[in-house]
Amino acid sequence: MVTVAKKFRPQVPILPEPEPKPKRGLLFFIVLCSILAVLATWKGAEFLDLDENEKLQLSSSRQDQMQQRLMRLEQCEQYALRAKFSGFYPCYSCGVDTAIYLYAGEVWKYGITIQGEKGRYRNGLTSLGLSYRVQYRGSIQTCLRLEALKIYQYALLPENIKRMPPIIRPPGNKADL
Amino acid sequence: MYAPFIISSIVEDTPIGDKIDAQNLVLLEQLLNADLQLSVYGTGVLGIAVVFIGTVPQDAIHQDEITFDGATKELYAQLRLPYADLEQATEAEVLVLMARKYLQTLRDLAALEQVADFDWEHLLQDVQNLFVAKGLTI
Repeated sequence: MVTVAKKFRPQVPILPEPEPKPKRGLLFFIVLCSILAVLATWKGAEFLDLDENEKLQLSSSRQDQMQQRLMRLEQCEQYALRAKFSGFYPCYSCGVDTAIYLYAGEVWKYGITIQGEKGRYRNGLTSLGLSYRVQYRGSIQTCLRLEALKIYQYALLPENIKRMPPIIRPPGNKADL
Repeated sequence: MYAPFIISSIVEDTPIGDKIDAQNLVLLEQLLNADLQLSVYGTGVLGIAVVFIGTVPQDAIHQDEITFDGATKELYAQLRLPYADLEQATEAEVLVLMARKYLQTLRDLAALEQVADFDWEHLLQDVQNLFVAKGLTI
């Protein structure tokens, strides 16, 4: 009986396999996670924000910082540090000599600085016996240009020409720029 | 610092700048270093650097500032001088302006600055006496 039942199984019509249902729950979960991840990233990145059209833009505080920075670059100073006393001062352009004799008022270094920058010149004023003279105020481009001009043309100054030998750039400038 | 009392300046390349840095910086610095020793007032301060600002009022880069570095025990002060007064003053009068500003800063420090083992009041008194003796407090 069992053998017969096995041999002559009732014919069951073979139906086409149903299309797998899209796993909508999973899809929704992935999309939600992505949105949350992007939001979390923005939350961490406080320098970004969305405008009214949902487009990314810099946050208002970051924009303020940028404007201030740009404004500070327009408030640049080109200066000269000069010897306060006649005496020996460090020299970075004197070959094997590490010091040079400057007369009071002679240039030790040309430099530039912008607003808000803790001046690198400060050490020269307190530790080396120098004073600071503003030679130009304006944009950073012009300051850089004037600084370069003065560093190169220092070699032609009477205070340098009289030396034997003259030096290529001011004693306090380590490089041309 | 190369000396206990440092005097320097931030000025423009103008005759007003000359009034400050041509002679007066050196005069004031030498006067203080010749007559006073910081160690007399304690071990809390090893150097006092004062930088006078004599630039136009529109100068946005250099501002009044007083800082004390506890590690090196050095005080750094940037002090703006009144520009209108600088314009009218002679070089000798500018020296008096600088001395006055210096004294006022010491008075402020004596009232406010808390530095262990340093007698600001005593220093103030001695500097004041020195400036009076040299005719710098008119």
